[in-house]
Amino acid sequence: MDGRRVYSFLLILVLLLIQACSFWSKENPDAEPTSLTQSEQLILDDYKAEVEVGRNMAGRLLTFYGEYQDKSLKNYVNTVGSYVAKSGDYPDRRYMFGILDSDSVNAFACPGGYILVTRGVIEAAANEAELAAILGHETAHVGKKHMFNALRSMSKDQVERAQAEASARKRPDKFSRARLRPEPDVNDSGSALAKLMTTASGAGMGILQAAKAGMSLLLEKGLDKDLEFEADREGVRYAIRAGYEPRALDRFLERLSANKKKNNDKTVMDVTHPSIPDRRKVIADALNRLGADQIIGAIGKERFDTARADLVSKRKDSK
Amino acid sequence: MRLMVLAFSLAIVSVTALAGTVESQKDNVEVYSAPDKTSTVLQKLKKGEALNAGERKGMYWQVKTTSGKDGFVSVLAVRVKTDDKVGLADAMREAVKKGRSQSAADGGRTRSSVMGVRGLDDTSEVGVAANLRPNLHAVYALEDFQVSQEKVKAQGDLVFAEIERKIK
Repeated sequence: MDGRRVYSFLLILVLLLIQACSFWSKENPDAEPTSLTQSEQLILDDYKAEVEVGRNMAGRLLTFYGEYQDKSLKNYVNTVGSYVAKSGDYPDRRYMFGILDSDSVNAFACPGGYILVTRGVIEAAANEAELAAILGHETAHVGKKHMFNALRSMSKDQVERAQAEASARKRPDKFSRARLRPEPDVNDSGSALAKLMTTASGAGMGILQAAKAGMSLLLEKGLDKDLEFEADREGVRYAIRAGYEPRALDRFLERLSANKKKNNDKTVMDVTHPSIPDRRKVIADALNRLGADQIIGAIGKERFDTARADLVSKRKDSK
Repeated sequence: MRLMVLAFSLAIVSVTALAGTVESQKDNVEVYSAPDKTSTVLQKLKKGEALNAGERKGMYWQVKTTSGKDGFVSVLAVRVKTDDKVGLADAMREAVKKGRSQSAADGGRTRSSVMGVRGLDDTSEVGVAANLRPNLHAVYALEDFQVSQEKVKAQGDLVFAEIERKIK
């Protein structure tokens, strides 16, 4: 075959392929929207695996703590969280906020954009600026894919160990059998997603394995300290960009620290996050770099008090 | 190959991270050469005109003028643009919905959204959380809840109205 024939043959082949692709995208109802760029399609493919893991983790947190039922407060947390997220570095991502029914002061960012704050956070915060900075911290975890990348970077041994540790937990009497999940069946679509969750060691990690390992990081081991510091710096920056008072997160942590000294209690956040003094140092550095002294920011005290009025009144009644 | 794809996607994400857009809220918004109202005016913006923005510097956004110069614009005169690039967000929303059947197969059956275990010791019993059946019903409710662009914009207006009141 001479060069011209080879060229013609390849040209026809390419044209046939293009036609086949366009036919497939028209006929296949599950095809992705064609308006996405190649880079957006890559982000979307990655995101699908994130959602599967994050959904599973968020679901377990919601089972463990329960969801705090207050539509208006949930609305408010979603509005503030979405606003801060839009002012951050990853405004195109999805963020979904919920409230866990727990006194403990903590917030969780699961892959895929599931962000859960405890009722205790809303009770401990003094204003909207503090809530915004906390949600900013969590949106930074999501945007930077801290948890998802941490899971991906685990070796096969680490994943299996984390899963085995989680499975070996002794069930407290308070749990009914109904709340424990059965061992999963492996199915075809699960295997396909496992390929997307390939770890640093090259081993495919199942969604359930990843979710269990993720729960261990969320509730017991914590992410790397540097990732928490980064989320603090970025969360403060996003909240400032959104117009909030720069020192809100620092004030929240300062108050939390003072209360801890009084009550001498240890929470999940103490175990999974760097110490509050270390976090405050990192935040102080970030504020200096951002020229926080010259920034006048919103506090949103009235909006915050109005939004949590029902919660505060219920808590007063219960005491 | 996988590493190349990952590196490429990370590069895209980091470029996105640097690019922000602010939009003028009124006519004749001045872009200054320094974060100071007495500095040289580089450009005047019409209402709705947008500029690429970098970081906040005090009460100013660092921006690129249309002629490519570094400038500063008051944070009170512009807003971060929020309604761009809906394509990816929409695609992500669709991806979330399409993946629900998979999640159900992976161990969840829908359940009541109120099923927390009251009275648990937060630190000593969290380990069992990994073995609980995920409450997908509650997760789907989170997924279905969506804050509109108008509501996000209104929240920004409330925040900046408060700052303006403080300055006055």
